[in-house]
Parts: sequence; structure tokens; C-alpha cells
Amino acid sequence: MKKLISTIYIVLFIGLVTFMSSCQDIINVDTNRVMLSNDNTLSSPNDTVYSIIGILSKMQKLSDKYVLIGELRGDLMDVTVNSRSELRDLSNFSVDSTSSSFSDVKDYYAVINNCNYFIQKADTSITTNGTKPFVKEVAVAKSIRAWTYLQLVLNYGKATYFEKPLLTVNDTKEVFPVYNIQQMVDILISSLTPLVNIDYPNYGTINGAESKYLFINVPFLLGDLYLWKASLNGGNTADYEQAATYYAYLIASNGYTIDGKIGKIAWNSQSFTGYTDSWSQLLYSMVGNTELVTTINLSYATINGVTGSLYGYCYESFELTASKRLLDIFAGQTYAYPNTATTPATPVFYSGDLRQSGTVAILTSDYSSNKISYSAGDNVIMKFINNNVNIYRAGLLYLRYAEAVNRIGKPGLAFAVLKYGLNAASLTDTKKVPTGDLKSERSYITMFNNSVFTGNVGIHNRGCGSSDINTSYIIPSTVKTKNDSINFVEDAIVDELALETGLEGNRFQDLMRISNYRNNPSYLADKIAQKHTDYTHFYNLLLDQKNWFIPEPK
Amino acid sequence: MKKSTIKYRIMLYCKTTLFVFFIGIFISLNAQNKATNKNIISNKVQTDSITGIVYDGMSKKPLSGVRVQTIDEKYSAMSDETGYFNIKLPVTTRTLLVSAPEYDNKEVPIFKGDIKKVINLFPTVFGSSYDAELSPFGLKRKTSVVNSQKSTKIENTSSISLDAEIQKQLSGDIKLTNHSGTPAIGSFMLIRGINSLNANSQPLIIVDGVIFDNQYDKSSIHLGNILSPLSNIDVNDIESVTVLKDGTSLYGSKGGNGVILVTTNRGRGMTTKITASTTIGYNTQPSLTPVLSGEQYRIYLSDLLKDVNAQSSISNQYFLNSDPTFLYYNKYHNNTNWQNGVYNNSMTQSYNIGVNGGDESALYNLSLGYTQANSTLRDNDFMRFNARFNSDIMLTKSFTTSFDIFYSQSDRNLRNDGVAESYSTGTIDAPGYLSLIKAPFLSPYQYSNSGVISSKLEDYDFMGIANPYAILQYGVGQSQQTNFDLAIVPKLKLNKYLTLSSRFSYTFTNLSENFFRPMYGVAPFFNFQMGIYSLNQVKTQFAKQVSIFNDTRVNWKKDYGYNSIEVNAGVRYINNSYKSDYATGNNTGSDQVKEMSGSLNYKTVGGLDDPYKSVNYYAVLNYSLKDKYFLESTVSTETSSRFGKDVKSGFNLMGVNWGIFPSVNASWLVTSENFMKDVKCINLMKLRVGYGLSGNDGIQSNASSAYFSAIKYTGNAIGLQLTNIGNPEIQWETVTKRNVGLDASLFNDRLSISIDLYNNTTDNLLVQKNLNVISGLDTYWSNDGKLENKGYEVAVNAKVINTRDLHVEIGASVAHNANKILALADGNYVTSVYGAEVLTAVGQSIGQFYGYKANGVYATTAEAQADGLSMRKSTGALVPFEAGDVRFVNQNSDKIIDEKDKVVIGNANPDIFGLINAGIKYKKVGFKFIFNYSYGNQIYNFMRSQLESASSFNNQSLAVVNRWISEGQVTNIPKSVYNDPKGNNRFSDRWIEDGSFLRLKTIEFSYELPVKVSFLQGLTIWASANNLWTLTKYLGVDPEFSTNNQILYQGIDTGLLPQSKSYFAGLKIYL
Repeated sequence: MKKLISTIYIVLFIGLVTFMSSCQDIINVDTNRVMLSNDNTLSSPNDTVYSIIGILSKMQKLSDKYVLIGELRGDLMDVTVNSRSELRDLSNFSVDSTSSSFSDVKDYYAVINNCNYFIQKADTSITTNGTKPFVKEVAVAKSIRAWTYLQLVLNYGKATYFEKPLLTVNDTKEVFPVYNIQQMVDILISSLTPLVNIDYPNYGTINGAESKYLFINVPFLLGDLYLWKASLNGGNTADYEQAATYYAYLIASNGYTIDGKIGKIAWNSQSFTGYTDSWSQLLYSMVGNTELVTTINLSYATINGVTGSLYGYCYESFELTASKRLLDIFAGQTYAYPNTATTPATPVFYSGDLRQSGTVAILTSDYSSNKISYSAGDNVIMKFINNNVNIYRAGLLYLRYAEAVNRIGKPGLAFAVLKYGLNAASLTDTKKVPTGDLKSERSYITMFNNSVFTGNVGIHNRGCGSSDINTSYIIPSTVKTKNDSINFVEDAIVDELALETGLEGNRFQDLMRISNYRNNPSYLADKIAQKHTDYTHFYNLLLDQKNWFIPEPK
Repeated sequence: MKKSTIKYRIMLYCKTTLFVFFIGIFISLNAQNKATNKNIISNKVQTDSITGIVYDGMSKKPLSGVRVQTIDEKYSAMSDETGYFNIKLPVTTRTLLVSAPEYDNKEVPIFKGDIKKVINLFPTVFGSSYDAELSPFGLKRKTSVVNSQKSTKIENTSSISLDAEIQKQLSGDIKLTNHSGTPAIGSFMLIRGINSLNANSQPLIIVDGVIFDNQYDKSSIHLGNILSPLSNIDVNDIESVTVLKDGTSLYGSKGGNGVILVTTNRGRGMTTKITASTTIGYNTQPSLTPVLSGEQYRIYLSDLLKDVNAQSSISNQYFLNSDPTFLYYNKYHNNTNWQNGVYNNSMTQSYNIGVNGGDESALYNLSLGYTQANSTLRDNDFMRFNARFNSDIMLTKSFTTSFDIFYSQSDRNLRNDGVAESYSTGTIDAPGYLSLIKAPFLSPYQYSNSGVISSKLEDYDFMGIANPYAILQYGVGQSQQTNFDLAIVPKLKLNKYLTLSSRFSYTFTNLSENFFRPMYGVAPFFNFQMGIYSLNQVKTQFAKQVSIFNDTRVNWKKDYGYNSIEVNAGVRYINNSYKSDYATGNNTGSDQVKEMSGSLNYKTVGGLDDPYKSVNYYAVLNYSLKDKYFLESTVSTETSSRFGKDVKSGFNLMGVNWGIFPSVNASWLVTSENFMKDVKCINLMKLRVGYGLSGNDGIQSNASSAYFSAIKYTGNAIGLQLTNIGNPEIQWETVTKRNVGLDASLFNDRLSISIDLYNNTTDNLLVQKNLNVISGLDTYWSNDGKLENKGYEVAVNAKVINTRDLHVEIGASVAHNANKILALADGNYVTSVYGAEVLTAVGQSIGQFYGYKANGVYATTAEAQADGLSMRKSTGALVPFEAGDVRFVNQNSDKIIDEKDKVVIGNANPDIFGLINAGIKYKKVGFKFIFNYSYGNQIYNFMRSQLESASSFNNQSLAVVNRWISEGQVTNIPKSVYNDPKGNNRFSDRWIEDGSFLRLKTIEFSYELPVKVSFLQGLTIWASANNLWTLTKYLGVDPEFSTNNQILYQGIDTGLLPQSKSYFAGLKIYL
């Protein structure tokens, strides 16, 4: 009997265990409201489109920080009486790392982690119609990740680098290397270089934006990375040449031009009473825009997706404005209107760069409520009126190209980008481009010998009329040495960056990079301190390079 | 997916069958084995004989026909005319059960050497200390209960939902707060404090052995209304309710918050009994906060319009024109009491018919009910139709089955109620709230150009405030619930000791809700989320819940001499699926089109898909020795789809994680000890002690895995984003319950006392922890934290007068709970709720109000300057406080009123709560009084803050007449300034009030008519009144409310419909 009972116990136990063994199945549940990471296989084109759009949406969240960290800390954008403390603190380099949203780097890593997941999971081996469709999308994810990492190191001075998707809490506790700008730039260059020739996927038009504008442009980013690399290694010419090569490659392959007929704000007559603006359009249009390279397109209402704050800050609550310094830079330019009565045409001068009218609107009356107030003479930033944030465009591309060739030792060529425009004609005109700058037949120069660029004019023309005949817009004879020329032209480029791309988000980093080239923190400190009433405080503060970065919470 | 689901079901079925089969074999073989032992024992039974006399305790006359028996009912005797009885019983019997019709049952211990007992019985009126009580495994003698629990029977009642009835009867055992005065809206319930921060805090409800999902975490689309599936059950169908406060390990990871056991009426005997009852009720219109009259409001508004921004926010200033010949004079010169058109007196009616009976092969109870309750808020009502059929069928002598069907349909008309937490995505459209804030000088109806009032409703007004009458007339608010339950419980009695049973239940709950906000009468509202003007709005919600439940168990019960052993072991399986879809659409084009349609341009859609499965194995051992030592030992082990894959506690077996929940409860019946033999005044004394673990599985679904969600990108594009990083270690919260209790019955059972001390701790508290920023996400769910609930519960009941004709009973209960957070993962934090900051901090209780202290209003400029305080604007600029501003307390010395000056200013948890009840019965006439109370809790009167802020166009409460107007004026209400730039109305102790109250919840009168007709067995008429009297210092209209089921929202008065006085009359006929 006892034996029987124990046998039964054993059988019973086995039965119990069999029942429990498949409990995994019994308690398994399916839900169709979310997609579990192990169900998200990314093997069909639809899956990958959804994932890329998910990444783009995460990138939208960076647009505010991109502009504000880049500009409000710089010399061109300023706060108003209405500005909330957080914006003031950013402008005053007194960000409180424990509470300020600008210290929160989570959104950057959200882009990175979503990219990591996609890069790891997307099946690049799948072939349809003889092509590998996912190769393009992986390139998109890699370039967005690289751009995001660059933003992180430039804004915060360091970033945690990892390529593995973090999917569990334990993943997030792993220790990954932390890189500074120099280390990060090297890593990013090596990961992006193989992607230069990969095309972008085409998703058609998404809410009025051609999908190609929504992806980070790889050659542009590589050019920037080489500029940063050179700025930190004492100005290695080979790196500048790499930068110039990537910019030129992009200019050539897409035929980006600075066309004298479109994309400018010009006085209608030499009486300087009315002007025509075809420049502002370049900032807004996201379809068939020959100027635009990469933009972040934002939603207008949260129901449609991620919205940005810039539109509200600039127009609804008037918390951001252009600094007096930017207005001074505009005012300090000389407009040259060609008097065709003489041959060759002689310039009729007028003061001021017309791009100011596309950049800011000057208010004519006072208004005050208990939320906002403004007075006549205040200016409203116009660059975000379309609710998109431009990352890369042709104007910036040409100026970066000029920055690179100038530092290669070709200030004449660089200045020609500003004054004359590069094309077959100007490259053969030694009055425009000195012969010395052309020798050695670099492809990044010779490529301009192409009819595509025949209409190229100096980028300064976009708001200052005919710079080519502008006798006050020259490298003065007082600039003797080559080094002085390079510095002079670089100053001109920096001013042109303000005139052309001011308030768009690059300023602080541009000043940072140029201070690095020159190994002179006061270059940045001086320019930015000029914005503030307490010049000395900010000048001294910014002489210390550690203040160039936003503190992160401990 | 479908295919695999089916596969799983088949597998599950096969495995369950296999399991039951094995158990069956085991049991039957084991039984044979035991059966042979039994013969040996029964041969050895030694018997003894005891005699005694039973008296009526009041008249001291001997009682005949009194049944005296042993606990197992095997031996019994009956008293003769002299009250004498002689019972033969086994020597191991230590207790006699004594019962007689119309007398209280009694248990009499047999002491060593006892041969003659004198027993006094007392008439039964209000229940005794020896009644049977419900336990998870059926009825139990109260004296053998080892848990801390409390039962009540449900009889005549005016309550239309069960929770309201529980509140009346068990307020000292469960802290139950009605959400509002809306009929059958449900309640917020806490048993022994708040056991969880983020998981569910509400008790588990078991109806007839099946886990009932009260959808605590689901919400209605109608503002201020809470889904309460419990109210689908007709109170007339309920036989008893038991609140289980400890020893809940049986329910594994679901019992952490305590358990409410509910049983419904079943067939009782072979005589067919028909009960018909009808109730009529009358609810009085609630009296709300008095508001400014037309003229007072006109002055107030003119005051506000000194501000230029205020001027630009209104479309005209015609109201200032006092020329009676002015075209619009009539329109702006009324004195409307808006509340009169929005609130009203209302009627309630309820009918129920029950048939109870059966024959030798089946017993049944059939009931049908219909309830119609109109709310005191116009156009709000509740209608329920319900049918229940419970049957017990004897197929063979050893094989029986229960077969129960329940169907209920509840239709409600609901309007948005109370104040919304934010109006960023909606406009004020709750008629009740509008009736308080609407300009009283306006009229609900239009005036013609000749100045004659018409019957046409006015549109929204010049300040953009809606006409509540138009919302009532043109709007829609519906909520319908259908509930269908089917339960089959086959029970196989394998032998005398062994029973195998399996409860299979299928539950289907359906919810359908519609909402329509008209454009006529409501101002267009700019919806920032959508970037459009919303002219009218449609909302819908459809939800379906299907739950399959199985509880298969074996029961083995046997006595060995002085020992009595009962074992219940089994497995419980739950497969629950909840799916819902909700949609909001705007601008249907016309108020005639009130339905959601796919063609609406501005709509949002969403939904939930929350499937859930769990398996629980349990074993419960009940052991008693000599009828005075009782032990219950439980262990259950549970796995659930909500647990992560790498849970640290519990154990992993065959691919899944199991939590283990053991408990031990024991009791000692002191009065059965020989040394108590001569202590006459103590009839019963029992000591209880318990220790056990329970769980709380209210984990957010999918918290354990990484998942992606769909997002919208610039309009119509859809993207997938990582929205959760999985925590594979996520698990249940562990609630450790420790309890010591004493139950005593003294002085001929006329005084009963029950005292419990408990100390419960919750470990593995489910909290959100900050993720490393590199994850790109903010937080993850984790088990990290600890809290405790300590307290006592005391209940006293005295039969003050107990004569033949007159009985008076008085009882009171008091419960105290101290809640304390012991550890938090990422430190203290504050949560913003309705403008309040609620602090969650280590060392303090949950629900601390955290804000500024106010100390009156600056009467003069000199006073303000002397203090020199200022506040910081968002721009960082300092603005000084001036005369007429609130004098906030500067806690530090920086003279700036900011975050650093916030302190704890109140606490929503009461110090003590409970009830006081009294019953009087004279012959066939009965009276019952029930008071409930709460003492020491604070309320954040958010509603008052809306009506006393004096900073918007909304009409204000009468108190605002005393606002600061001129230099030197001493008052507590600051000056009125549009938009409150100084933040005078910020969250401060200005809005914190003492929420203590004592309320006469119910008075009930009943009379059993002396009918003696062949077709009529009995007739009872009764009448009752609820909420007649409330003692409170609270300035709001009702100190009892609960905005929703979330713990941090408790104690925040959002202006929901107050409970008002109501009167009921009923008739119950027994055929």
C-alpha cells in the first residue's frame, strides 16, 4: 500500500510539473496596442519606414535645444523682458544643472538609442529587385546618430558612446566610454566615411516636406567633422582639405549654387525705396528648394506630433529677439547698387545689409499685458515663422567651404566665395582669385569649372547688392601677411555667417571652432561679451573654456 | 496569432484535465486508505453524557424545543418542557451548540468534569457572537474564525449599490468613501490604510468565489464620473458581505489590499418562498455654496475690468449700461439662480422579486430587479435591470453542481461633473460647475428686441461662459454597462471526507459611452493640442472585458478525536482580456449630428488592450484542537503575465516566476479552558494572532518588457518609437500582514468587544525609478521602496436593553491607521494634482499637502512694506507684495516667496474613522440609526479656491464680498485682480480645511405588519432617511467625496455632486 501511495505521489508530482512546465505558454499574453521589442523584426520595408519616422520624431525634440544652445549663448540672439528664467540663465551662462531643461541630455540619447536599435535590427541583407533597400535606411540612422553625438559633445563637452540598443534596465547600467570632442570626432568620421555615396531613401512628401530634406546629409556632416578635427589638432591642412573636399563634393554632386538671380534681398532701384525678397523663401520651402539640405520639420499642434517652442518664444510670448549686436552687424554693411549708367557699372552705396528684413521685423508700437510686453523698436525674429528649423543649407555650405579653404591657406579663394562667387570665370580671373590659391589643381576647386556654377555670385550679394564691384568690401592693403589675410577673411566669414545664417543655431559652435583654430578663447569671449551689458564679467567668464559647455546634472 | 491562442487553450484544457485526473486518482486511493483507518477509530469512540437546563435569559422560564448538538451535528438532543436535556456525546467533544428559533445561537464550552449545564438563551434581534461567518471556503462558526474579518448580512436597504451598503454597515472595518452624490457611482475603499503608492490600492472583491474586476484603473469619458461595475449587482440579491483584513495569502498576488467576500442568495429550502419588495425614494436638491447675486457680481466684474487685459478679453461692456431704455438692458439685468435649473429634487424607485425554493434534486433562487434612480443633478440618472438565477443541483448523492446565471444592464445618463484638472484641452461644460460660475445678471432665455423674454435658450455669453441649460438640452451623456456571468461548479464528493470541486466562470462586461458637447450655448474653444477651434465635440468609448476563471480544488476534512483537520488545495486560473477604444472628434458641423464618424476632421483615437493571465496553486490547512486551539496555515504560489522574466523574489520553475505567499493564523478560545469555568461574566474570549504575506500585482501591463509605440509625425505619418525599457525583474509588491486580535463577549453575551492591532508593511513597492539618461527615457517601473500601515480597530456592541418586547442595542467602532513611507527609490517627490502639490516623502504618510502658509491679507501698504516680501516672476524679476495681497509665510530669511517656502500644510488621511450605530426594537417596530465619522483629515477645497480666487470672470462665492478693496481694510480675502499676477490664490493653506465630520448616515424605521392570511406570510413596511444631519467645520458642501480611485487624488474636493438628504419608503411582501 505504501508503495502504491508513493508511486502515486510521484505520478502526481510529474503531472503537476508538466502542468507548470508550460506555464510560460499559459501566461503568455498578446496585445496589439504596443509592439514588444522582440516582435519588432524590421524585415519589411514598412517596419523600417515606421522606425525611421520614429527616429525623425525624436530628432524633432532636439530642434529647440539645437537653436537655443547654439544661438542664445552666442552673440546674435538675446532675451527680452518677457523671457523666462531658464532662457535668461542660458543666455547668461548660469544654467542650473539640477533644474534646467538645457542640462537634460535625455532627448539626445533617445535619438541615439532608437538609431542603435534600428541599426542593429534592420536586416541589411534583404534584397528586393536586386537592391538592398535597408542599406539606405541604416545609413540614415547612422548619420542621424552621428549628428546627434556631435551636438552632444559640442554642447556638453562630452558624451557616452555606445552602439548597442539599450532595452533593459541592466543595459542602461552598463559602463560605456565617455568621449570628448576630439575622440568623438574621430569615431564619427570613421563610422560615416563608408556612407558618403549611399543615396537617401525616398518617402515622398511628408506634410509638405520632401523626405530627402529630413535626413542628415553625410558629406556635410563629414566636412564639419573634419573642420572640428582640424580645429583641435592645431590646424592640420590635410584635415581642412578633407573638409573642403566633402563640401565641394556635396556642392558638385547636387549642384548647390549661390545664384545671383534668386535667393537675395535686393533694392529695386538706386533710390533705395523698395526691395524684393527672394531670400526668405529659401528658409521656408521644403519642396524643390535648391538651397535646402537638411531641416527639422515641426508639427503645429501636439496632436500631429512633436511641436517646438521657438515659434511660441519668438511670436506668442516674445521671449527671444535678435541682439543689438546682430542689428549692428547688419547696419555695418554697405550695400552696392550697380549704377548701370556708367560702364563698367559703378556702385552706388547704401548702408545696411537687406537680409536684416528677412531675419527680423522691427516693431512699430508698444504693447503690454501681464504675460508679455514689447515696445516700438523691438525686433521679432522671423526665421522660425514656418515652424521648421534648418540644419544645413547651401548658404552655410558655401561659408563652411570658405572656412576650410581659407585655413588651407587660400584666403583669396575663400574671400572670392563671399565677394565674387566661384565659377569658371572667377577662377580664371586673377583679380578675383589669386593664382597662388589655385595652384596644385585641387579637385575641390576645379570642380567649379562647370557650367552649373556659371551663375554663382558672392554670398555677400544676397543682402548687399553687387559685392563684386563693392570697393569697400575687399581685403584691404593694410593686411600684409598671409596669416593676417587668413584671419581677416575668417572674420569676414564669421560676419557673413551672422548675416546669412544668424539665429539658425550655429553661432556658438562656430565661434568656438574659430577660437580653437586661433587657439585664442578671447575671440569667442569678446564677441559674446559684447552682447551683454556687463562686458567684463562675461569676457572673463568665457576665457575659461570649461564655461563653453553646459553643465550636466551629477 | 489566433491559431496559437487556440492551441494554447487546447493545451491548457488538456493539462488542466490531466491535473484534475491525477488529483482524482490520488484522492480516491488515499480515501480508501483513510476509510479503513476510520473504522478503527469509530470503534473506539467513548461517549459521555451531559445534562442541562435551558432557560430564557430574560424571563428565567425554562425553554422547550431547544436543539443541543455537537459541532459535527452527529449527536443532538432536544430540551423538554422543563428545559431539560440529556445529550450523549463523544468525550472528545468540548463544545455544545445550542439553538432555538427566535433566540440567539450559543456555544457552550464543556469543561473537565462538567455534567450539568445551565444555559440561558436570549431573544435574537440584532445578531449574536456565535453566528456563522463567511470564509473563503464557505460558512464557518464565528468562534473558529482565526482571521481578522467582519461579516454582515444584507437586509432591507435603501442602498442601490453594494458599496453604499458596506459603508453603512462596516465603516469601522473598511474606510469607504462615496465618490459623489451621483447614484451608484461607486466608492474609494481602503482596508487598513494605503498599502501601495503606484499599484492598485483597492481591495479585491470576490463574488460567489469568483474574482470580480471592479475596473479601478479604468475611467469614464464623463468628467467626474467613475466606472463601478460593482453597482451592476442588485443589493437585494446579496446575502452577506465579509471584509477579510488579514490571512489573504490564499489570493496570492491579489490579496494585498484586503478582500471583500460577497455571496448572493441561493436556494435555502424546499418550501417555495416569494419575496417582493418595492422602494420609493426622494432626494432633495443639494444646497450648494451661495454665490454673488446679480448686482454683487456686476460690481465684482467692474472691479476686474480695471485691468486692461481683462477688458480685451470680453466682447462688450453692455452690462455696465444701467439705462433701462438701453436695447440690451433686460438681457443684462436679471438675477438668475442658475442652480435651480441644473439641480433638482429627484425620485428613486426600485422593485425586486425573488423566488426561492426547490425540491429534493434542486434548490434555486431566482430574482429580478429593476432600479431607477434620478440624480439631483438634472438629466443624470441610473437605470438597472438585473436577473439572477442561482441553482444547486443534486445529480447523484455524491455529485452535485451549481449553475448560476447573472445578467445586468445599467444605463446611465451622465453629464460632466465637477471641475477638470486642466482646461487646456477642453472648455468648462459641466452644468453643475457652470451653474455656480455663470453670471447671475444674465438670463438662461433670450429677450426679444422688444424686451420680452422668450423660451429660446441663450447662447454662450460675452465672457465666453457656456449656458448650462443649453448643455443639458442639446448635449448627450450616456454610459451603459452590460454584465453577464455564468458559473458552473461541479462538486464530487468522493467519500465522507473528500470533495473535489471545480468552479468555472465566464464573465462578460461591456461598456459603451457617448458624449456630445453642443455648439449652441458653448463658446468655441481653441484647442492648442489640435490647433483648431472646437465648436462642438463628440466622445465615445467602447470597452469589452471577458474573463475566464477556474478554481479547481480538493477539500479533505476529518476529525481525529480532539483534532479536527481540514485541507483545501487547488489551482486557480484567470484569463482576463480587456479591450477598449475611445475617440474624440470635433466640429460635426451641426448640433443635430451628435455621433462620432470617421469623416470628422479633428479627432483623436486611442485604446487599451490589457490582457492578463495568472495561475495560482494554493493549499490551506485548518486545524483545531479540542475546539479551543485553531490554526489556519495557507500557502499559495502564483505566476502572472505581469511579472518579469527575472524576478528576484519567489522562485523560477519551468520558465516562469512564482511568488510564494504563506500565512499562519491562529486563535485560542480562552473561555473553553477549564480555568475559565467559574468566570461567569465572560461568555466568550478569543485571542487571535496572524502573520502572512500577500501580494499586489497591480503592475502596469508590459512594464517588464521593452516596447515600441506608434507616434504621429507632422500630421499623418506614423512612426514607431521605443517608449519603454523593460525591467525583467518587475514583480508583485509584497504585503506582510501582522495582526493580534481579541474578541470577547461578556455579561450574558450582552456586551461584545473586538480589538485588533495590526502592523502591515509593503515591500518591493512599485515605484518609478529614474533611468540613466543614456536610455533616452525618463523612468522605469521597479520594485524599490517600503511603507507601513500600523493601526488598531475597536468595535464595541452592547445590548443595553434586552426585554421581551424592547431591545436596544448600541454599537460603535473606531479605526486608526498610521501610514508611513519607510523607503523610496529615488528620494522624496511632489506630484501636482489639481494645482496642489502632494508630497511623497520618507518618514511621512502618503498624501501630504505641500504648499505655502498664508497668514491673512495685508491691510495696508505700510504692513506690506514692513514685511518687504516679494515674489519672482517667470522672467526672474522680483515683484513686491502689496496691500490687499496675501501675506505668505516666508520660511527662510530671503524675503522671497518661492519653492523654498513650501511646507506640509495638511494630510488627507484621517486619524480615526468608524461608525456609531443604534438599534431599537419594540415588538414589531424597529428603529435603526447609523452615524459614520472621520476625524483628523484635511481637505484641499479646490472648489472653494475656484470660487474665492476673485481673479476671473467666473461668478464667485458670497465670501468674495469681503475681498480687500481699500487701504486699511482688514479681511482674509485678497483683492480681486484679473489673472492673479501675484499668485495670491496659489496652493496654500488658505484652501486646506479640517475635513472631520460626524454624519447621521441613516435612520431607518420598520414595522412588521401582523398579517395572518394564508397567501401572505408576512409584510414589512419600512422607511428611512439618509444624510439627515452632518456635523462638520468643512466649508464645502460635502466633506465626503473621492474624485477617483487614485490615492493622490483623495482629499481634493473637485466640486462633485454632493450627497444630499434623501428619504425612502419601502414595502416587502413575503408570499
